[in-house]
Amino acid sequence: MEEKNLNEVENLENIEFDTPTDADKPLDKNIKLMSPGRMVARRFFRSKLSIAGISMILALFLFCWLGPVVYTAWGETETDRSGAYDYFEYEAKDENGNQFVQFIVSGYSINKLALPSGEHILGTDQIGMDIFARLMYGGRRSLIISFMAVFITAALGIVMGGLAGYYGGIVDNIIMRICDMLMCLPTLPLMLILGTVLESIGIKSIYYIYILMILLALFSWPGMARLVRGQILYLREQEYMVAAEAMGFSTARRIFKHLVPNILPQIMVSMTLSLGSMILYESTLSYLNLGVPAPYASWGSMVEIISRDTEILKNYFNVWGPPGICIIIAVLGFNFIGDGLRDALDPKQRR
Amino acid sequence: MFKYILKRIGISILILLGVSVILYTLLRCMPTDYIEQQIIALAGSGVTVTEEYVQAMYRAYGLDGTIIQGYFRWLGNIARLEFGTSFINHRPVLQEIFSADKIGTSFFVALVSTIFEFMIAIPLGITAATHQYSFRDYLVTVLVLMGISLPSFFFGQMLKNIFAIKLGWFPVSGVKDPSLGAEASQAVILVDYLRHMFLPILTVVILSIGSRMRMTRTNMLEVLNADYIRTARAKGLNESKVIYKHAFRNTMIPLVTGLAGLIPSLFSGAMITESVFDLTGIGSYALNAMQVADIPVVMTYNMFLAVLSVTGVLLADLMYAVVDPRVKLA
Amino acid sequence: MGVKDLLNRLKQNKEDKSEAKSHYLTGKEVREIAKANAKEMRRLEKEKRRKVPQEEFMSQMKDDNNILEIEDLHSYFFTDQGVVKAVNGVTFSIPVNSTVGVVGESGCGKSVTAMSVMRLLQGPTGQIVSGSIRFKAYDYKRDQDGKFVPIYEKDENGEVVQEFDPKTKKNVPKISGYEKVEAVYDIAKMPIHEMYRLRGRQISMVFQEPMTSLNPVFTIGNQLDEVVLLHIPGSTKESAKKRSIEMLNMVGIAMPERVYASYPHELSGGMRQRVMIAMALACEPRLIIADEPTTALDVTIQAQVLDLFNDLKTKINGSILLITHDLGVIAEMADYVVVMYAGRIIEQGTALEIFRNPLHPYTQGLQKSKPTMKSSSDTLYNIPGNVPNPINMPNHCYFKERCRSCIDKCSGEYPCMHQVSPTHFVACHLYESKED
Repeated sequence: MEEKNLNEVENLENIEFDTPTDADKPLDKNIKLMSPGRMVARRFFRSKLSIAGISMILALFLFCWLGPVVYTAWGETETDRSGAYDYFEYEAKDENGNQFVQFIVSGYSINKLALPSGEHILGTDQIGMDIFARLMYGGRRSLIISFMAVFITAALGIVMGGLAGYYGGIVDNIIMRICDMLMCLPTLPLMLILGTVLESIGIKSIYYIYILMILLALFSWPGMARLVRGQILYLREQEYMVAAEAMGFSTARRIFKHLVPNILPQIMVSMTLSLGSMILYESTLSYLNLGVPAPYASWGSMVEIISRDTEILKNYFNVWGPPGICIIIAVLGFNFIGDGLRDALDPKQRR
Repeated sequence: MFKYILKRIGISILILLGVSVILYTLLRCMPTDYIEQQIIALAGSGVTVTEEYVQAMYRAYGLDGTIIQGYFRWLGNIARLEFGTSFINHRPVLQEIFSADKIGTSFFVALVSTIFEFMIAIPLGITAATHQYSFRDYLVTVLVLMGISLPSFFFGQMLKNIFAIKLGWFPVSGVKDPSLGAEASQAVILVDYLRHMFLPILTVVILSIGSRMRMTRTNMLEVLNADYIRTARAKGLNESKVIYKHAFRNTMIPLVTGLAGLIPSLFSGAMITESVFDLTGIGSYALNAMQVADIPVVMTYNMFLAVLSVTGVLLADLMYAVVDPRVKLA
Repeated sequence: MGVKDLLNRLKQNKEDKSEAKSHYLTGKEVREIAKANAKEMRRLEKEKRRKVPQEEFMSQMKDDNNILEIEDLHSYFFTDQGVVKAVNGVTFSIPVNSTVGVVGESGCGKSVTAMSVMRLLQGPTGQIVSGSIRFKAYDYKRDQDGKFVPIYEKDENGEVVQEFDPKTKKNVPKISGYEKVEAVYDIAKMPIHEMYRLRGRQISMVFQEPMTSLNPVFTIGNQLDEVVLLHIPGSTKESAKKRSIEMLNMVGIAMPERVYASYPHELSGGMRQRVMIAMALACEPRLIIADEPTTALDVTIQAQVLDLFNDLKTKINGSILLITHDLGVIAEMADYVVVMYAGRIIEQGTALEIFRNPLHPYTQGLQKSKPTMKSSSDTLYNIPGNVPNPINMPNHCYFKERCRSCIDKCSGEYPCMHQVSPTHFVACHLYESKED
């Protein structure tokens, strides 16, 4: 046997190698692999913080959108007038010079700053509105505002960055200089100025915050544009883009089928992280009296009370605590998700 | 190199012109300008205000004419290095802004907190990266991210409430204890100043640590996967030398270049924090000026910041060439 | 008719999809794998960091002529897709003053074997699970205080002349300036912190990618000096620089002073690889592991670097473990050849035996797929199929379905190693008959 084999080997050059006839399942098809999507999900969920982030945000959304359906006792701008009878007392003198004390008793007074009870789960605020209900309605507003701002920022940034990166040359130059300009403008002062301008145009005060956040988006797209432009410039140099061009794909197909999927992860990460900062912006604008006006609620305007009323800050945690905690949960949640996404979508990660 | 810098400076001047146009236009669009407020106050006190007087006032403050005329007048003044006087207290703007108690206070707060921010955030970022997905990583991440998950006024107010009002460890607001007389020694004054500064600085540090630490962590993770780290290990270096010499030096590149980008924030003042703690810093001063539409102050302050940020970007690029031997400026 | 056709096609489509799906793991399976892995990885990581007395990882060589003996080495990667048995029971040894080449396709576990010897597997996923790697180290001797013992020279009067005088800087400290003892360590059992004195000093490694293997922010000199300062006791900056330049000279760099002061990005790939080799040789290691040292270089440079290796082997009096997929390189360099396939050794022997008389069908295929001037055919032969991903491997010959001379027995157990000559071993059922 061995002899024969040795002979065979000597004539190695002449042997016809035939393909294997074995019909069994081949070895490399035998194993199961993870689908690419599952791989990303797996990496994402490896970090326990991502799971925490997802559950925090989900919980907040459920609370804000389903909450008011279940908890219908109080509305957003409904004042509780079941307060104790209120009275003013003052001393007066009649024309004869006799002193007397006058009481003025008023019913239907505002049940303000009530402590948590069965009636009001988290008590009432300084104008007698139910905090729990306002927390849910305010949350809706805060979340909608920040999502809106982030989507506008992202859309603008992607379009401008895409144009700059794809066309290059003069287009790129102009767009990037505009970016530089906008990045030089300090945001907060700008918002203050714009706030007063809005006031003068005579827009209803409830729309202020929406318009301000849109304006904020108009000023904050350069970050996203730079990211997209950088990515496109990088990807354009990659072999697969050259290959796509060589294969005669149209420009649109090259952009949407080959470029966009590659930039998308970065965009998603950046968007998630800025969702958190937009929620913070909303509350800062409230602090500067540019937020949601009085009877309406948002988390920002609900915590803002502590900077105006030290009495509430010291003694009524139930007024400012819950919205503060909601803000922390929301921002923390978005940050956790963004961080987890960044780790998961990074192809350089070896684990 | 020289040519590159010249070109960049040219572009920067264009950018600054653009910024000034935007700012000036917006400021002039503000509805209640300073003159209006003055005249309302005058009328309120019973003085009859004539139309001529109003015109004269506008002319005196340089606010007559269209926005375009006004802008070019402003630009001409700037070119002659005349920054104007504050509408409110009629003092030269430069004196107002660049005084020790305004920009000095802000600069002190910003400088100290930036130093602490780097000193705390970088080691934390490195431990989090070298122990990825461990308990330590989670703990550090959660703590620092909690710091950036708070609105600054809220967090400042909290600290003030706990440490100043409830515990009384630190003064509530201001920069100086009014009870300190002129006879107090230098040391006492200094200690008093530092005690006033403690809470604002703490606020700023905690609010800014988070992003710096995340940045360090991401950079570090990327560097730790590099081939040259494997080479360093193969040389027989111990783990701490691998991390603190080979990996750290590479992680530092973006951090150091980021340093130049911090220049504007050193002088801008933390607007919100300063107003929470009633500091007389430049931030809260500018906030006030903006609310009363003090155009010369607002313009000068914002343009000063714009100049700083343009310079910061340029410096960051130059710094890159210094720190990273691979980068050559074209 | 048309409708029926369409339905059929739809059905077919659906089946295809479910077929495709079965290639992927379900979430539940992944979680189970991850859970099992986490436990194992934690145990092994702990093992790496444990503190043990030296006796625990001291060992004995089986054959005193060997410098490295790898026995039944298992190095696994605990991925979420399952345990990848990248090295699955590898046994071979490296005799003193010889070059052992390891060949195989990409992904056959040759690099992982090398990394295991250096203990550089990227943790916590990559781990040595079992087996032993015995290495005959030539360590510095230490006196009772744990200090190194310099070799004293005596002058004519019998007075001791110290080898190195830090003040006059006359005598540069050398590796040879200290007394040494021979000790056999089992690298697989060593805690990582004990490895620091072996790496770079006794075993050094040249990597595949010269472009990225040098730290971009330090000068070449800085990175070279580091090794010397680290491993030669009593070295100073000056002595280290002297040694570094000497090493650069030795690897054939024309202007060592200039290269010493430059940054990695200023050098070409070939130059960088020379620097890497200089770095590996600086401490006169007993074993150099070269992991595809010429793959990233162009052909002329390749030849130069290989010549350099051949040259150096005699100069440093050490052994080389050469890892490559290029049979030409092996033919030129190696004394002994180990052929690996899917984490196992399938054939090993002297270079002559492997090239003149390849036994395993895979080795024959490899030989055949090498382009030669002689071959008359237009097309290059290739071995059909791919290297299997070594997860959940069945217990039969892994090469079975790509093999042209498969016999019935091949569906049975994995073949064990059969000796065909004193130095030639093969793992194939075709050569079993004699012993049965």
